[in-house]
Amino acid sequence: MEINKKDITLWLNGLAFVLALVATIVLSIANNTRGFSLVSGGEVVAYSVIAVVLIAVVVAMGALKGEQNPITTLAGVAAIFLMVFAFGTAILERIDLFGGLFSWDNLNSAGWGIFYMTVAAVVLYLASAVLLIVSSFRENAKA
Amino acid sequence: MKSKKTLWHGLTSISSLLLAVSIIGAQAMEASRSQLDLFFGTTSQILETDNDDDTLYTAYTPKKEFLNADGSGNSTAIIRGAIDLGRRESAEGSVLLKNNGALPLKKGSNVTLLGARSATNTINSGMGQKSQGPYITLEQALGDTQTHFDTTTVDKPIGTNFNFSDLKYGGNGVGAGAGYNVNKKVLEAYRAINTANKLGIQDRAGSDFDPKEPSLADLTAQDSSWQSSFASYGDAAIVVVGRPSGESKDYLKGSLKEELKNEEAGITEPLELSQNERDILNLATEKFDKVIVLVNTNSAIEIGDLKNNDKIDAILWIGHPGNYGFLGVADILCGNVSPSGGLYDIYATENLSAPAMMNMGKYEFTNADDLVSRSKKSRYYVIEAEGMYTGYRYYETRYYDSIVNPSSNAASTTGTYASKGNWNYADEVTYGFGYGLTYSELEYEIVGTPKFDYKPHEIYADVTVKVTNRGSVPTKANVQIYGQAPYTQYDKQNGVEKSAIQLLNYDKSDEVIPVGQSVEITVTCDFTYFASYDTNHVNPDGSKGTYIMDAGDYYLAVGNGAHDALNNVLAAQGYGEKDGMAGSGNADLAYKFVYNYNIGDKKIDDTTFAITKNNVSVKNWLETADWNYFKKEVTYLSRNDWSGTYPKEYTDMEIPDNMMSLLGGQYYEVQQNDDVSKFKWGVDSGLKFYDMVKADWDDPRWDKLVDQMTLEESIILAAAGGDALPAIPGVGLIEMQGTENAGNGVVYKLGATKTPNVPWAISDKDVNADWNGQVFPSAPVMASAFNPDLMKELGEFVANEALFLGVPILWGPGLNTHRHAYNGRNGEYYSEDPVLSGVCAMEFAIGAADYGLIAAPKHYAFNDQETQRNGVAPFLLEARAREIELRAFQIAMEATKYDKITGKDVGMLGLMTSFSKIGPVEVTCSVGMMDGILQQEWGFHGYAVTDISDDLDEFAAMCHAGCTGFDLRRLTNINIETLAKKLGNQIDTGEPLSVAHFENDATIQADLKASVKRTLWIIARSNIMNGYNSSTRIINQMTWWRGAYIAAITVTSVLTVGFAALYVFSVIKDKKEVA
Repeated sequence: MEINKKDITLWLNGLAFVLALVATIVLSIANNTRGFSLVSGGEVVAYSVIAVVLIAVVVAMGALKGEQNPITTLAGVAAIFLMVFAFGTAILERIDLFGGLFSWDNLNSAGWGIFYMTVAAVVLYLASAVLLIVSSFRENAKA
Repeated sequence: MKSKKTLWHGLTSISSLLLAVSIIGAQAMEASRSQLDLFFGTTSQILETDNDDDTLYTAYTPKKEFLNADGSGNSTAIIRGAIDLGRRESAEGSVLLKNNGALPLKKGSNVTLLGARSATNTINSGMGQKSQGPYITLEQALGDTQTHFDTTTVDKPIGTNFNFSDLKYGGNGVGAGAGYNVNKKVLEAYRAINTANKLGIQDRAGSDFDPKEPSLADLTAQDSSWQSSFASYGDAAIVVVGRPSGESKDYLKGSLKEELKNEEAGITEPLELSQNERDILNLATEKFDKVIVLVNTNSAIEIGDLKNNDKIDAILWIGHPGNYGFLGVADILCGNVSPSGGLYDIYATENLSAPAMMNMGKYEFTNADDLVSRSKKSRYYVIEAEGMYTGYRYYETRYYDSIVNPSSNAASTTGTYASKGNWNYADEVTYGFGYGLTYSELEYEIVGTPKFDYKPHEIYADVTVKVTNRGSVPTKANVQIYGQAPYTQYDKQNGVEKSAIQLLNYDKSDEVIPVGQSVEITVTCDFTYFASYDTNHVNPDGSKGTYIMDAGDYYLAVGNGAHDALNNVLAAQGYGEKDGMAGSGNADLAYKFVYNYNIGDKKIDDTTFAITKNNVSVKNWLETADWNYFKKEVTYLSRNDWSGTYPKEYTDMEIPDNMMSLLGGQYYEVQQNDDVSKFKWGVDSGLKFYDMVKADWDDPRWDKLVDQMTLEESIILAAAGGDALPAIPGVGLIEMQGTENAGNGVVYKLGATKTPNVPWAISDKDVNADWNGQVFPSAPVMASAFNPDLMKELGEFVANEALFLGVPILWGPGLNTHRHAYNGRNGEYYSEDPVLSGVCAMEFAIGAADYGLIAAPKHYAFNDQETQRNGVAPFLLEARAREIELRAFQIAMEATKYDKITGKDVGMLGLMTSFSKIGPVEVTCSVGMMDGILQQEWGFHGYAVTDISDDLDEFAAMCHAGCTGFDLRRLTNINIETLAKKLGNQIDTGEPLSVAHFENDATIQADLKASVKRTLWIIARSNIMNGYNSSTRIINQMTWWRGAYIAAITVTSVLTVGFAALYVFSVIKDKKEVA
């Protein structure tokens, strides 16, 4: 089956959606680890859920209308911004914890679990952002 | 023409990502601004004044020797002072254990250094008490007539701002070495191997430990002719054996790396000499007429074989000497200085013979899953079944009982390791606590009779000792005064344990004693630190527990260490070598007196020390520290039955039901309906912080100043202390940066001052701006000097470093006592003895306070092992807690010596609590530890901070606040704003705990007021006050890194908007074209 340019853009955005969704789930689990819930957990969830919804809008409109327009562009840009803000906010609040893991608190198994989950979420979010950026450089199907 | 809208779209996406990263980065920088300022040498906040009146910069000023004529700072003088002090500390703190005349070794000798540690010396701890910056190696100190200060450095290459050129002196200058000719060929072979083995100068202990000593074959493989070089450098072999130490990791039983174990030879332990170390020592004895061993460790290596080997001519313990200490080691080796130190710990023949070793390491409750707690930090315990008998207290007491009461089971085979047959001191101990030789012969004499001073609740004995130098070398001399209290029938019946000998106090001659001359040294013994704790005593008010003195015969004895003093007591009691004594005694060096003060018709004096110096009645505060309080399952070691009570290993313990809630941290329920109307928050009375400079604790204005702060500000100050204490602009309090280490210097670069306006500030452009002040030796070296004045001088020096940097608080020195040799952090703590440790910390802290640095001894208390240190529950007797670990802190906190000198209550200003628990309760949250003992009994009202942040501490401490006397600490001011919304996670529900929770809790609000007062009070006694006068304001400053993130945000914002606009423009254009 031949995959046209529109398909590729859709695939990229779709994959970005999946990655962002998985990242949001992973980060939420990390943020709600018993006894380690984030002070700013509500904000982080809000940023990440909105980002996922915005990517979904990008994907849906791309699938329905076949082209990128100012709405999808704005949604994609905002999603990228919010994903970075989501994991950035989480990391900021975790600096004490993560710093301790590499020095005095290296036996904190729950802390390491949060660290690895946070790193995984960051990687997934960044991958999602990169896919959105790549797709944004692509001409849409009708161009 | 192809549309560019996809290009603008893509660029908009990229720039939005960069914008988000810039904003997050900016938040991170602001949250860490205090650390960034110190790292980059920038200043985010300054104190600005309208008039430079006489009150500015006068609260605390540096020593004149560190200033130029115009009052500006002289970095070269500071460094020269550090080198000189570090050198003297090592020269006085190194301990000569054996010498058959090989030492001193004359200058100009041709020497070969052997052992991996001869080429890669351990200079300090791998974590915690580290060294920073340029250092002097053993080779340099031995080999040069002047040392090179710019060829070796810790961690990173020397930057441009190290300029020690004018510190290089020949002859006898500050950098003069021993002047030996050192065999470079062998050192080069070692260096190549050490590099491959990644052997470091600041390693750590650990399980699966490998000392990384190469085999002879490895050396030959590296350089086949390495041994041929011996002929040219054959005057002496100097063999270095060593072990690292450091925070977070212990040595563990049987943890020598598996491949290195030799079961047949019995080599299985990490502190035993490995086979390769033995081989190089044997080679040295074969090839060299003179063999000198340097013991480069803070952890007691088992060196009995070296003591007993006639071919080993001399043994010098050097600890971890820090950056410049090898100059002091060289001074001893070449005879510039006669050694005068005494061992900080007992060196047993086998470390496992200490009863404390029966229970150390990782023990997990069998039912830990039943605990409701976070992060698994409360799952671990250790039963300290050795009771009172740690360190020399065990060996010397068992020895004494084996002599005095041969029919007792003290001499049974129970607990024997090195003994052949029954337990025998001479076999079990290699070198005793406090032992050390000089190059001369010293004669001691107790002058007259001790002068006793009896007060209602204090007793002092001044013991004057005449020391005569009968040898041929001028030398300093330390004087150690020990005491023996009778072990009576009352004690046996009531479970009171007594060490047969205990250090009461010590001092050292101010100057070297010329040959043939004498000095008299008077040592004041405070019987507060001699009394025994009787847990079962019923007090007049019905409570239980107090300090007692038994009626009976007591002895004050002088000796070269605890064993020698005990032998002198034995001699005074009529015992001799015929009775099996290990060594001989001199009855003239023990003074006997009968204690009958406040005895009346009782068997004990239970009144004199029942009231503390703070005029508070003593009672049990730590009953839950004893496992048997919950369930009678533990037998503690008693000298009444050595064999029957010798500890077993307590594994697989189950949490009793009645311990579960304490272990889970459920100490306090926040109240929601208290009457809090009496508390005032945010009431402006016009007071400013400056008004309170050095104000008395009882000054009523403190309450008004505290009332000026809002509840939220109070919580921030109480909960966000630590490395950076937050600014509270409402009362004019500037943000402050503390420094972390165990008392061996300030860990910041000299040019990174937080107070650039003071006249003596060292500029970041100064030639020595990159020099870092953390350079002094490890704590055991300082302790082994047995020199209180030297400790005070160190405190003064470090405080001067802090004064140049504008750092008001030092989280140190380390003050835990050594429970056993395997604690990986022993290098950070002074000694196994509470008096030696306590006096060291007191002197350091008093010296520091004189120059405005608040020293906060740590870790209060029971950091008895690093294994599972974050929350391990040590179970022990209250008597043991009070007479050993807490006594060290008590001596420092009470600072009685300086109370007497100054005529007022001096006390300590700072303290850091331990990660660990006391029994099942977090130390931070222990009412007994933090309030009953610390504040009530000892009268402490300084800043008691938790060790970093631990949410269990945080939650419980906040909920237990002033009744425990907490002041929280976090690493930085990160999340200060959010801290005000949520202070921790509730253990049971995991729900956020907000300020709102405390709005109706009277206990917590009262505690917050008390905490804030303590914090403000100590700050008013720090060097920060230099910048304050009546016109002082806090001004925020622009810094280059702040400018950088503002630029980044601005640029990425403009680009994002610009690309977005171009994108929209392209879309419109495309539509027009289509239309």
